[in-house]
Amino acid sequence: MLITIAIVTGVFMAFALGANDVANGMATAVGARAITVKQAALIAALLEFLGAVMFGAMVTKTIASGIVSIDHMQDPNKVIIGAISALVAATAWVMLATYFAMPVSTTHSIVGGMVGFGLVSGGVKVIYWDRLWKIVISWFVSPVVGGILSFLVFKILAWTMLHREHPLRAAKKVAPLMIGFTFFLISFLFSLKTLKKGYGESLRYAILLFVVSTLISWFLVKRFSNSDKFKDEYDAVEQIFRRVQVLTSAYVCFSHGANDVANAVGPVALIMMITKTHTTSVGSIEIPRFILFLGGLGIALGVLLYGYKVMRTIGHDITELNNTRGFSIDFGTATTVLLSSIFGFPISTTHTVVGAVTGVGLARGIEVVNIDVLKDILISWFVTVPFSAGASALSYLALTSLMHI
Amino acid sequence: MANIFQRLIPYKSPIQLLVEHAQLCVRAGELMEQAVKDYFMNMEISSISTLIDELEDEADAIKLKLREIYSKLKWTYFNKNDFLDLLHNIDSIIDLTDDVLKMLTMNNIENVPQDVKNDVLKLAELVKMSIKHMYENVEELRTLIESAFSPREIRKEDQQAEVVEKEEHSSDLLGIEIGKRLFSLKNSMNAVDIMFLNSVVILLMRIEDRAKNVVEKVRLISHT
Repeated sequence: MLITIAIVTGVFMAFALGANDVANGMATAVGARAITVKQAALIAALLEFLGAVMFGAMVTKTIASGIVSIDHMQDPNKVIIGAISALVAATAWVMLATYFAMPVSTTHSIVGGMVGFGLVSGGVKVIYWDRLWKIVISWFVSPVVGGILSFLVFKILAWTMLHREHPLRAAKKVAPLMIGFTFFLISFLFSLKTLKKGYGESLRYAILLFVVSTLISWFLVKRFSNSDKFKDEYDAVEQIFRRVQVLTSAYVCFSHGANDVANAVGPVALIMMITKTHTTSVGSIEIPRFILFLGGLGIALGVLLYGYKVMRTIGHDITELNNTRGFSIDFGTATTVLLSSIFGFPISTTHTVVGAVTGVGLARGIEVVNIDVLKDILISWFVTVPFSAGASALSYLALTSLMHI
Repeated sequence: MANIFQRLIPYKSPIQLLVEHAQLCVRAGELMEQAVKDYFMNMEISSISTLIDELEDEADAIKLKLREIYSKLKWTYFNKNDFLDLLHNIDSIIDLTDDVLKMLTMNNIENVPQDVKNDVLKLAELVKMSIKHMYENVEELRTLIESAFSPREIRKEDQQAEVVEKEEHSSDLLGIEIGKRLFSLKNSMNAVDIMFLNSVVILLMRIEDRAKNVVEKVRLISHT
């Protein structure tokens, strides 16, 4: 019964994640009319699912057993109740915040939820404070890293293409290299961290994929730039990056799936591991792949059934956000989120997006940021964790006394 | 819930608004030239004055929107004060064209020699052309931004600025010539008409001066 409740809540949370956050990944591509909403929904659903299944294990493990020291708690049932409480509290807070249009992070909510149940069930000693601090620091560091990466990417695009005498000629060389590098990065990290291959072997695979994807995209870019008519050379560059941006938007969705699946299935994974072993010593157990599959499926369904509608609200062109800027933002965001997933840090994709947009703004690529949004985000940081922790603690106490555990 | 991009990035591009504002100046300049022609042909110009009034209102609305958007932005392409100063200079062009029209509706002049009329008309045409070139200079800012402030586009902005600066110099010379000619007619022409026409010429020169200020400001902001 409890497992069913946990799975249903987890899948519901995954559904909400897909529904609300998909616009972060696909907004730039849809806003720039690079793809239709329908195409965006299909691509996003597939990539979110793949990201969750391929790279979701590390962050899921952090949520499941990296915040609260489960080993210190003797009764497995209490841990199960705690995990459900954390999940329910986080889901309730996210729903409430969504209703009031507050940019809260599901990551912060679930971390707060886990801390809340940990504190009331085992006291201060059961929290891995050093790990928790690292997670909190990663929340501050990730927008900065996203900003630095997008700043650098935009500066590279400016120096190598936009500042050239013939930007189109330069774009024909730079765009395929950028695509190749994206494939290099994903394949290298996947081989190294998910397939657990060595550095040398991972590097070989990655270089091979880099060469293949660069050559294919070089051929496609050449064909496209010869066939279309452009207003001027800058327009031609933007048109090329309009196509390339579909890829980076997909990269954002992939990374989002990898990092955020844990917010939905982290507690579920913990419950499944305890049920399987009948013990609270789950530290060395691998995350069951089907849990990630389930979470990925929930996110994909959220994208297809509701995220589609959210994306339709991006009705107007985000005029300032042209394709080279969108590419830089997407690349900075996706790489930061993917790297965080690899190192097991649950971070907020939305906040990383804010950092990346700011980075391009600092590079004089776009005029941002509405200061009110920054205030909202700061408030949400200080409110989310205490609230979800409190709600999780209360529901834990209520459930344990109700079930006489 | 609004997407984070829609909340971070202004709904309407400030540069687009600035270009739209400058475009209104071009329309006002064309109308003003037409009004000067009609005035010398003793035709009614109040309808043109009303049209410029409307353009001025439209420009004020854009200015307000632009100030509102800019006050909320954290990172901007240009220094906020420089940008607002640029906006102020563009706005003063439309205000001054309105002043010219209002002035023309106040008084009908008599016995003006044809050569003076021709020179004033020529000055009005020069002013119109300078406003147009000023607009092109402002519009070029979009390309400058798209190119991420490419040195090539900065050079192009500089060249366009030089055109307006030269036009302003020519207009200054012409304005002084008209003034001298007008005051040389003090014994044959109504003194009030001389002073009146001279004031119109000074207003026209002031518009030209503002157009030059705009391109100088554009040059300043594109180099920083």
